[in-house]
Amino acid sequence: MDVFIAQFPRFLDATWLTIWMFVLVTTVSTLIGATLAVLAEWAGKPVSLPLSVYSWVFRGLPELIVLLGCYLALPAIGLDLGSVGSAILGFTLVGIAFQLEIFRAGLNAVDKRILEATRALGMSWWLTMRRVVLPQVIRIAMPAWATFLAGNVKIFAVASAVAVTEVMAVTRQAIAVSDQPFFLIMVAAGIYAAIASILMVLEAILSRRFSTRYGLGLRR
Amino acid sequence: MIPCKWKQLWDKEVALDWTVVTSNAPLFVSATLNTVAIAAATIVLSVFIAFPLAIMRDSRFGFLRWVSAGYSWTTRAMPTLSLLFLAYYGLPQFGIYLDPVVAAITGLTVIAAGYNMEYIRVGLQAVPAGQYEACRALGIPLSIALRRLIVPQAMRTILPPLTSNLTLLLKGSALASLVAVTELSGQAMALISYTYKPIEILIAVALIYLCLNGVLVGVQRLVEQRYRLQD
Repeated sequence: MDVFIAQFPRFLDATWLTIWMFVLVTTVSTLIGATLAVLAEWAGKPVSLPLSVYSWVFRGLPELIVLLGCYLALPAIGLDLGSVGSAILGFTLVGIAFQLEIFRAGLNAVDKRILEATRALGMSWWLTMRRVVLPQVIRIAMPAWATFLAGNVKIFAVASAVAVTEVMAVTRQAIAVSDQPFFLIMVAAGIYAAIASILMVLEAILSRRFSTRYGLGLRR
Repeated sequence: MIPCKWKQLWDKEVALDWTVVTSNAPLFVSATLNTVAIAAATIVLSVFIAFPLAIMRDSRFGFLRWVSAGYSWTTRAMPTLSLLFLAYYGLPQFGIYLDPVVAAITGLTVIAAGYNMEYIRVGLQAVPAGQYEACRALGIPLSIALRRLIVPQAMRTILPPLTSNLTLLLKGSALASLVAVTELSGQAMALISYTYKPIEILIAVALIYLCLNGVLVGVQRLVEQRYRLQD
């Protein structure tokens, strides 16, 4: 307990690092993933096939291997991002793969007949995207996206394996000088659980807000 | 700016030396077998634990419901790595010293059981209530009813999500390397640290993981085809 109190500033710094890494990775991977999903649907086989391969590879590989690749292999070809940089890159690569699948599923759920109708009406591609497709996709993909988000915080603990001083790494160092490792590890898990819980609350709010617009439009 | 050597990236010829992989092939093979063994043990044990928990979840006794709901929430809110650390670094506080492999399997099993418990619970609930009532009306004890009648019917709903969870289990087994288990990722890290050829080794390891994942996806497709609802 006294070890935790003595190390509290480090835990705080580590929590902050975890949070901003998570926000950055989520933002970048959502934007790129959604864009790639649109590309995959609209640009035909030459684009969608490599993207499918990319998605299969980065969803199948353990995150640890991806992180090790960014941290150990990339410097060997000249791209040295440091520990935090390579962790962010690794998680972004994995995140893009998952977001790609989420938004692909969302795009597939849009009724093709509506798209034919927009083309019959002479709506431009961008107008169709802006007014018809994206509103639907965001509503359809929101639950899956938010669920994935809440579950994705936990994997940032693996960043401790590539020398990022985030919560798990600080805990490990604190264990070395403490006689209550169980308590310290539970604290670390609690921090992640707290972040995940906040995200799950956010998810519930977002799902409720986005789902009441559907159906008969009856507001609760 | 990101500290990277752009010029070196373009100019450098990366000479890949695959002998690092071929000469260490036996190490890779044994490490892969370790990974497969850990994953298999985790799957089997977690299903064993998940079944009683799933039954507890809908039990008449509030205490059992509360315990299993807490178990499910906790194991799905904690990072997998923290549970592995708990098993390996945390338990010695109470005098329990686990072998690394045992600790890894314990940690992974506890987490996997949390997820599998939900799938099994959904599967058991998907069996029409009439089946349960008929068993009670005929006086069949719950244990026999479950084993002979309910579970075979529930399998159709349980197996698809359970097998899609296999990929997550495989990815989780990689974390065992962080608690000193010589499985595939751990072996990769050790080899990199004394051969200094991260590119070749990581490519080889990635290919092995993708092959293992391919096998699991194949199993998943087979299961889905077999248990798909016949229209």
